[in-house]
Amino acid sequence: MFRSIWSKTLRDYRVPILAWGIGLALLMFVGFATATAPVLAAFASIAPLVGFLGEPVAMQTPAGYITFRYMETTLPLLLSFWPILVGARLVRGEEERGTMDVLLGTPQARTRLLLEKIGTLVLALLLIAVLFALGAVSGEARIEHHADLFGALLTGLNLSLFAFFFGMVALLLSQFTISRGAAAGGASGLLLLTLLLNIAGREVSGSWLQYLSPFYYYNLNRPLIPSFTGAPAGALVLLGLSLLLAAISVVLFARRDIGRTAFAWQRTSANGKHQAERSLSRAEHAVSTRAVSLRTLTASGWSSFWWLLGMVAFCAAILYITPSFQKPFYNAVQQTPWLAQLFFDTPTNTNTGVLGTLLFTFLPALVVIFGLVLALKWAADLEGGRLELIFSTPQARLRVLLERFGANVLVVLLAPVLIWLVLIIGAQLINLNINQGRVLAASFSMLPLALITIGLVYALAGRLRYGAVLGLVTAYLALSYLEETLEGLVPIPSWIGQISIFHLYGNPIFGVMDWGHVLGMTGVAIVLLVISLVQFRSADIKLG
Amino acid sequence: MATIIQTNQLTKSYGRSRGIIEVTFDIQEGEIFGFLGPNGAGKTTTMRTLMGLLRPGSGSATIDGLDCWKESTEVKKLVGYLPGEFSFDPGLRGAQILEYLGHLRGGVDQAYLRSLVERLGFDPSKRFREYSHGNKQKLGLVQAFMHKPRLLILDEPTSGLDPLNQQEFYHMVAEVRSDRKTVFLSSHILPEVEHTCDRVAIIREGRLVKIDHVSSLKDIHQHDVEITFAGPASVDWFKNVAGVVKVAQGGDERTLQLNVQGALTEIIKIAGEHNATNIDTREPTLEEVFLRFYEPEQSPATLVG
Repeated sequence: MFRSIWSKTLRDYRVPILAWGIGLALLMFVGFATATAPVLAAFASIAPLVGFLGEPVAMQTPAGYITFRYMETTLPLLLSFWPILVGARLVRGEEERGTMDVLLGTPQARTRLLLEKIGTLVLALLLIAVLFALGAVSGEARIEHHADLFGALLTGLNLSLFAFFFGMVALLLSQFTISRGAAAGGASGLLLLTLLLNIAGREVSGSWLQYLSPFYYYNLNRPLIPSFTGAPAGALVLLGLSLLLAAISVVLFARRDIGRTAFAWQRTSANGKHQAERSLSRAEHAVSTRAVSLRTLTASGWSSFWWLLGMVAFCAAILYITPSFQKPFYNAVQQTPWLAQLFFDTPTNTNTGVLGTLLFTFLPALVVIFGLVLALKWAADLEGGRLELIFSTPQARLRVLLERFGANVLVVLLAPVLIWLVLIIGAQLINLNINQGRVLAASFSMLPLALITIGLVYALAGRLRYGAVLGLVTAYLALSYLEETLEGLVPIPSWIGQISIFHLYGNPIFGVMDWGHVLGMTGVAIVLLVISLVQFRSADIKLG
Repeated sequence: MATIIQTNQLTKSYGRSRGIIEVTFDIQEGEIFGFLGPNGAGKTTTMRTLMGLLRPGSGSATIDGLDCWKESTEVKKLVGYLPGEFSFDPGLRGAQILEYLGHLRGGVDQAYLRSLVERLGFDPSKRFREYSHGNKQKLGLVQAFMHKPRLLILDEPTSGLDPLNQQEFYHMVAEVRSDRKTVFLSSHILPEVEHTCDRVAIIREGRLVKIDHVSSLKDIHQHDVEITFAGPASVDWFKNVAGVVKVAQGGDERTLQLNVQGALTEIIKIAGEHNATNIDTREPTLEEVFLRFYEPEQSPATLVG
């Protein structure tokens, strides 16, 4: 596996390939297995109401239901995050770690090096597509006694192609940014922006906006639905654009300085002493260097800004469509027995109920992922040896940990505050009647979920390596979310529900505020913090 | 002189891997103490344990009477530390890093900080990721010296520095010495240790093998001896003789090569008894003396053969 760049890179991707491939395969299998007639009927009735999310086609068939529910928006959005991270660090990550110098110290041409790495990403996405297809076919065979392997494979390939496009966007951006985080953040922002463009394009009849969105070209083909006539040109557009982005990245990478950006502005340092003095004076007055907590807040500033902006935009968009959505949604629930059963505890006749269905189903997951991203920096810094110098200063270990933890909590607290403010102020502005108390409860009940996530990362980071922390916490969160999503559709032991933070969050937006759960989760978060402190007190500081 | 660093049977292992084993030494206030050893011998592990970054498996380490693990925060108020390898937030500029660490130390004398920056020719305006190895080392040295600590623990301080900056570093150490402050530095560069240190400890495979004044180490007399005999020679003639460290057959059956510690009187006597025709002796350089300490421990069977 260490014979070439591509084989070494493929080895690096073995866990994500298996995790994403098997995860998607399971989702497809469960999706098809639960596509019973009442579910199909329910989604067929509700689909026209959420036309902005996707175009309902052949909704009376399992393939149509799966395509509408998972393939239109959800999976392309989810799967794209991994190639975005990979694309951003494909070369920029190696440059940040300083390993690119070593790699290019061997007789490897830059062009070939990058092409091999891109090729490996393609191979990884192909393997994920194959695993996806196997899951889909297995699920399909289970309910229909026949399966369309070719269609499933094409669906997987279309999905992988979409994700590859955003991987190449991240790769191109990384040629212009000095850190992989900025490139990944930019590409993620573009992904969300193109999703909004697609939604806007669907909403405004005859709009050209969706032509700007890769979601549009991706959705021109729905190979899972045999009766749907696809447009291969859509896939060709995505493929062509991806190759173009890759080619530009290769050309830029081949010509630029390693460790610098493409077209980097050449700094002139005519007066070194003057420049040194200016830098030192500026640093002397900087607030961010005064304490670990202030430094942590500053370091997460931009990424937190984009995260919070994304959440605020999401809330504003859903709030905006709520008035037009509420009535038809209520009618659909009334007229469809399965939906009535599903939303038996949802007051669909209110705007607050609609907000709960469209917004607070996803917001807890977003807030939790935000907390995870913030906390993982601690694990990454520990593993990267970036705390060695900090711990050589007379700062107690526990104090450093508490300052970092506190800064993370403070930033994550902004999420429920801003969500609450946007919904309350937004509702006032558009004269929408919502239950302010429930919005307040639903917003702030998300905080314990994020606290548990941050606490888990800190509790594990002192002993485990970054990859293990990431894998364990992500697996727990994914299972928690899956449990809550599939509850009622598939039999799940009740004890799993009791450890799922999303299950314990419940439905405060519908007035089901369980203070016991909120306080219990806060208690668990505090216990995790105590565990972090106790075990970190006696842990060896890793040597990068 | 007061003892500032004291370790007693200090042991640290990483699971099955060896770290350091029963390391015992002390350093007096005002001393410049060198720690010599090849890569992986345990120099960095000892220093990181002193800094409270690693928890000792057994034994103890104190700095100014404070336990390096239990009272590490107090310990670090006394110490300036340069890690062997260090990383930092890649987006921070050198000036910001110095300011940040200065604040975490409770503030530093800005004028002295600026003088250090100037002396080492360090450009603090760049981001950490943009620094070369040598410039990162300069940054590390500035942050270790900037708060005028009582004790400096420096892990391979001249690694990556150009000769001019090495000289500047030696000047900085000399100034520290004149202020009666203590320096504990590790190195595998012998002339550097000879040049700067009062005493030196040699560590090999996790164990201390020698602690002495630099001048005393120079006095270790070892001789390489080559003896030619009139007829076939046997290693058995010398292998049990006191002072013989190593004996081996030479280029032909009439020649023996010996490594002898101490006086050669007994060797000359035995050589005469076996009809020696020629004896060549050579005193090894100090470099070779240290290399012998570095060599992996050998069994008597391999020493004699």
